[in-house]
Amino acid sequence: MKVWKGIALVGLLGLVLTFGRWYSDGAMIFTKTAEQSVVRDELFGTESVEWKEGFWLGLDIAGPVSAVWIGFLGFGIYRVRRNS
Amino acid sequence: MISRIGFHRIATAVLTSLLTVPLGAWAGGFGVGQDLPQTFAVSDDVGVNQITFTSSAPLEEIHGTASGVSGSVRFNPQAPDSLSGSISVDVRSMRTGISKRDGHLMSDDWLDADQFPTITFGLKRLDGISSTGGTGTQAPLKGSAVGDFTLHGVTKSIVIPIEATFLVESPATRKRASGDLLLIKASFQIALADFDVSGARGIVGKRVGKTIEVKAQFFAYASDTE
Repeated sequence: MKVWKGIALVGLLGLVLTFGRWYSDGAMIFTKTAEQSVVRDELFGTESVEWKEGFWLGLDIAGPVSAVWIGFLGFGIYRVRRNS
Repeated sequence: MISRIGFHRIATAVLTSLLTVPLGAWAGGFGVGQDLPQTFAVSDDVGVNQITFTSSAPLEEIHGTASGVSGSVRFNPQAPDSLSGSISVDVRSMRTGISKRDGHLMSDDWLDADQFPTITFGLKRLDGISSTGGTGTQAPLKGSAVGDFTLHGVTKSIVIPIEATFLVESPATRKRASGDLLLIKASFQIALADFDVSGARGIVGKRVGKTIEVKAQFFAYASDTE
């Protein structure tokens, strides 16, 4: 019984963390892997864009990961109710 | 007493010198014989050659860059309107910050990088030339570049406003690149439909703009004289 409650809790926590990360990263559809920054070249008076590599979670990854957590949550709740 | 023909010749000579002196002064900065066209090869030794593009649509705004710029430009200071050359951009050097979207951009639905790996502009001439003022060789020259723009296998004649600045080699510039440099900047718009870029159904107009704003900036260095 406790095991299934634990699994449900893990699913719930995972779901909250995943969606929290997705929302704080800009709630984008696609995962972003680089961000632009404008750099000024003082010698030539020109501006150019540089890319800074990084990771901002998008729905394309957050969605399937959340589905896994929902699976844990759902299965845990189902087993708890069945055993009780 | 000056004959009519003699007066005409003198007047022509005076007028010609008045018009060519400013261009000649600008052209003199190229350090070449003013009657020779010179080839400038596009090089990214300076590290700022870049094309930036922006797509504005109701649901999404996309900002991207392309760094694979190459080509050459031939220029005759005595006849600046005869500016010619070719600039190419490697489609696979384009990026938008989202790897998945970059993949879509290269796909058959969009730019089809496998079949059309480069975007090119074949420069034919420069119209409407004017100097932006100032003295010396660093005063930018403005004009309208007329040429053939090829994207996605489709070629269209377009006019692109450009600005060209000649930079004489100095101890400061030599730290970044050797030789005299020619800085070219351009800004223009491209309509995707004109080049048969339709994308996935329903996206153009909603998440991708129908027209793309393009800004180009690159250096070329003197590579030879004819």
